[in-house]
Amino acid sequence: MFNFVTHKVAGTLDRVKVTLGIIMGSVRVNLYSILKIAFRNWRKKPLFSVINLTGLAVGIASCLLIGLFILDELAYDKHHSNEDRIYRVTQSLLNNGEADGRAATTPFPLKQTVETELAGYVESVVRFFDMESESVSIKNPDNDIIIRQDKFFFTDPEVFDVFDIHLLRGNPSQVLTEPNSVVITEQVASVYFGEEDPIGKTLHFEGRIALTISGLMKEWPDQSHFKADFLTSFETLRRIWGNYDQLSDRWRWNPVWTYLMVEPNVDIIQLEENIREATRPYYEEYFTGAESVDLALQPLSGIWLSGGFESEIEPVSSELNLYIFGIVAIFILVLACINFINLSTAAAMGRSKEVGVRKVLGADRGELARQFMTESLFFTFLAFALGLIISWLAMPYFELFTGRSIEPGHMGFGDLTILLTVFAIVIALLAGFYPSAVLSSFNPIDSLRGRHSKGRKGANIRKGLVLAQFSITSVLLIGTTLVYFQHKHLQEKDLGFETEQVLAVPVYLTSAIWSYDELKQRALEHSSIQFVSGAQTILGSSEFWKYDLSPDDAGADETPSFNKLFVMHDILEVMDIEIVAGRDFSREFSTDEAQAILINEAMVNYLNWGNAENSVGRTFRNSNGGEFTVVGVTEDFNHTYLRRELEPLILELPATQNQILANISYLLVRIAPGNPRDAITHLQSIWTDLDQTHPFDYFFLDDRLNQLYEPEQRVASVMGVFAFIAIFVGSLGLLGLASFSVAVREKEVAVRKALGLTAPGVFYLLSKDYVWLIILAHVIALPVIYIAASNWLSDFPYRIDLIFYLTFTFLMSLLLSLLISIGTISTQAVKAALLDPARALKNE
Amino acid sequence: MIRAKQLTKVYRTEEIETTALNRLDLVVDEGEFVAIMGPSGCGKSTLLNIMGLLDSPTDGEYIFLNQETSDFSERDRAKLRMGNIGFIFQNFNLIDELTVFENVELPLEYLGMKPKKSKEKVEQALEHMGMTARRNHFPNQLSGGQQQRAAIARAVVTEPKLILADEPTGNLDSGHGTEVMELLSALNSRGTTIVMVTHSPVDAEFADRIIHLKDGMIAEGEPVYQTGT
Repeated sequence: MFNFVTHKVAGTLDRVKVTLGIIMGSVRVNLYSILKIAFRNWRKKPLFSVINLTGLAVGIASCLLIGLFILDELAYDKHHSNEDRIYRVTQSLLNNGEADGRAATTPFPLKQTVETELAGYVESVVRFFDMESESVSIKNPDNDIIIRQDKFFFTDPEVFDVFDIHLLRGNPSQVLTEPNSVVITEQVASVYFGEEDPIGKTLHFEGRIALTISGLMKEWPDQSHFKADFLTSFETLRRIWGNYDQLSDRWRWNPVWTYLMVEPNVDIIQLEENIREATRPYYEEYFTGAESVDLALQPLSGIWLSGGFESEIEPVSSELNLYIFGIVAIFILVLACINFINLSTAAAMGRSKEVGVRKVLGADRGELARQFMTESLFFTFLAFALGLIISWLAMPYFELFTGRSIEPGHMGFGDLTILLTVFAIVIALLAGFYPSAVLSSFNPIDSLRGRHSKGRKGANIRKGLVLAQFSITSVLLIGTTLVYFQHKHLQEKDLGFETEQVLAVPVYLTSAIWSYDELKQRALEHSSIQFVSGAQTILGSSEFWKYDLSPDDAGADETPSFNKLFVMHDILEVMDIEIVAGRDFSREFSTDEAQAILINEAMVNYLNWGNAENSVGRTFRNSNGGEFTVVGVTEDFNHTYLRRELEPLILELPATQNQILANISYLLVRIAPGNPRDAITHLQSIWTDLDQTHPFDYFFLDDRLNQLYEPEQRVASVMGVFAFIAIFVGSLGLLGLASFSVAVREKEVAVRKALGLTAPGVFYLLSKDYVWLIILAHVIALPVIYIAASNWLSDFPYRIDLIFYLTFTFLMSLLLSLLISIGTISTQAVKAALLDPARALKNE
Repeated sequence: MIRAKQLTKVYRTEEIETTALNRLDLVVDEGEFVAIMGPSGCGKSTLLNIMGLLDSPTDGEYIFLNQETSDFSERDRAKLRMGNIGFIFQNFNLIDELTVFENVELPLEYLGMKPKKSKEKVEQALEHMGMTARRNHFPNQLSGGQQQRAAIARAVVTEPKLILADEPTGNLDSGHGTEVMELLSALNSRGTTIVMVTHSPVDAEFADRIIHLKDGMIAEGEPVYQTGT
């Protein structure tokens, strides 16, 4: 035992010595000689060399692209110099202590409370508010350029202290002090004013308020979790909203994004607790009974990868994508390195004589290891250079796929060079270590007698590596296909309402909504328009609102809240939703607009009201004491997007003109099949009559809903592309190995052929090992995929049947891998099958 | 120069144990030309490998240039070999990817010689072997005799004290064979010690002394050590 241990230790020390020798030892044979012979060897086996180089270069290029993408993701919001001290306050509504999601928004008065009660901990508080509107209309009165702007924010003047906003014109401490002053970006300025100096000029907000341009800022960097094109103060809002002071004092309403810049070295956990304490009395005025509110602090740099809360300013990314991409990058790199190792060691067998001769002439093992390592390094650098070119060429397509502009620029050229060099050296060491260790270990006597030339040595290691390759590609292939099917499942899922032929026109804050009835009536005059209605949000979107509404059988101390949507008459017609009991809203019942509601079947089930018929006539009471009667029950439909379960829902008509103005955000129009152009032109002409302040804008419902799933779709397509690359790289390696194995087994094939082996027999002989490897690799991949996929799918309320699809994709991947591999091997097997046995045996 | 005492080499595989050299004693003096003959498998090549420090004995002593080498590491053996021993093989063992010039230059690179001086030496060796005109040819562009002359040039370029030749004419026709033997003879006459393994009695005639090996031992009646020539 002791001998065994000392032997092992000595062996390890020897290897360490050799490794150190490789790195530190002096090279007596000069670089030129090493590269010369390397180059001549590569030239001798052009197919091998091209395969090896291409495989590695493609692998490196993929890795570089993904690496840049990941670096880009990690760079979000890091450009603010106080980034480590900035936190966003998030809010969660708790029901009996249980949170139903978390929102990125908080109430208006939070700022003041934090400022007065936590002055020692918090340096500044900055809020952003977008009027809860998709866009606002901004017009240059001088040239009548009028555009809907979606990056318009009301904010606090401290915004310039907290965030690094690059002001090109204007003094940060003054630009927002005057009411009705606005800071705009260069880009916006050039759109409205062209080459003219914008400072001091006027823009009209929503056609009524004149804003004076007091400052000019640079575009916010791409790596920001949100970007602003316009910044104005809350003092301006006070002049726009007559009831600003009442509204802004509410703790029940959370429409603003609040950011804190904390004092240096503040204990964040403690601060979070202090904020909860300080705000509790205010919240308790509004949230009673089972309801309460929980506030939390989210670091600025963590927002982008958080996956997003409700009411994000702009959609954010998710950490999961980073992991997925990172794993894919590592997979591809491992595949490429395995190729390199396999092909190099295979090719190395042909160089055993050289090793023998060099050893006889005085080279020791370290020296030879250094020689082959140098070759590997050089080859890797060559592949690296090629990889850089490939990634540079592929960058536009990669950006297209990811839907992002990747900017390595923020890293700095020096950092990037160092990073790339380190990356190249790591690959060279990874890929070159084993081949050089194998080559340098050859016994010179055996080498000179040609005992290694058959290349059997290391065959098992090569098979092991090929097994690893197949396992990786099958994981990628099956994984990607599952993601694709899940995505398709979401896209094709019947939401329970019509998504095609439905046009949505944003009407919030427009003058057109004031003339809703006229708009509707005139719209219906055109034959291409079938139904017109309005709604608080588009169905199937990520937005929803909860309201306190107690069903008639609720206990006195219960304050349940439910999702409720304000809709206009005929919404069910536009969306093609059926009534299962009772009736739709009707103009024939004048009380409908103040007292009637519709509920869905899910509500009936949730409240245990038995069946839909029995639910008609039941009542709900709101927090003001108003009573609403259920006049009908609709079939179930997914009013929120498919990331959430189908939930109980109430539909209500706005009772007053004010309620319409405050709550109806979209006009929804069902158009006749065929060319939608006529309907759009018709709507536009009515719009122009009714609203001169806001340009006509519209979108198709199905387009918008598809956009909701775009991030997942992007991830899926990027994964698909890289899975394809992985298979390509793997196939290249297989091609190289197959050609090598044909060469090595030439004599065996010749002897067998001489003894009567047929051409199909040759094919079987050469491919059977790989067939088993592929099957084994799939068996290894299966549990890995199963665990990963069930974890991933558990986040989706609507998901594919994993067992069915896993079986399907497993078989598909197996079949595809077999086809590709057998196809690849065939090209080489044909050569062997056509081999003239007499010639092969003579050559021996 | 060479002193082998009770030299034993045993090859072991899982099932078989083969004795290639069996307690062999041998002395070779500086300036000698010794031919080793014997049937296939008698241990000739094993003996040559140990003498060339390519292999180490299982038992016994091997003293080369007054250094006991049987427990030398691979690195130490390589160090002692370099510049002191030149090898000539039956199949030439030139590196196919290097030209004649580069092949001959290789041992000087390992000796760390300055390029200018090493070029001179290579030119000299090539001229000596009549290979100057073929200096930029690759091995596969040469005849067997030319390849062997290039290999001899490579063996002598470091001016080694000992040249070990393993069937140097085995792959050559008789004309080229004689040419190679004459080159070796000439080297020997200038003081280089040569030990040659051969099957050819004609080649063996060029040596001062012939040793017959049988079953890993020097055949009965052979002198272990012979003074003078």
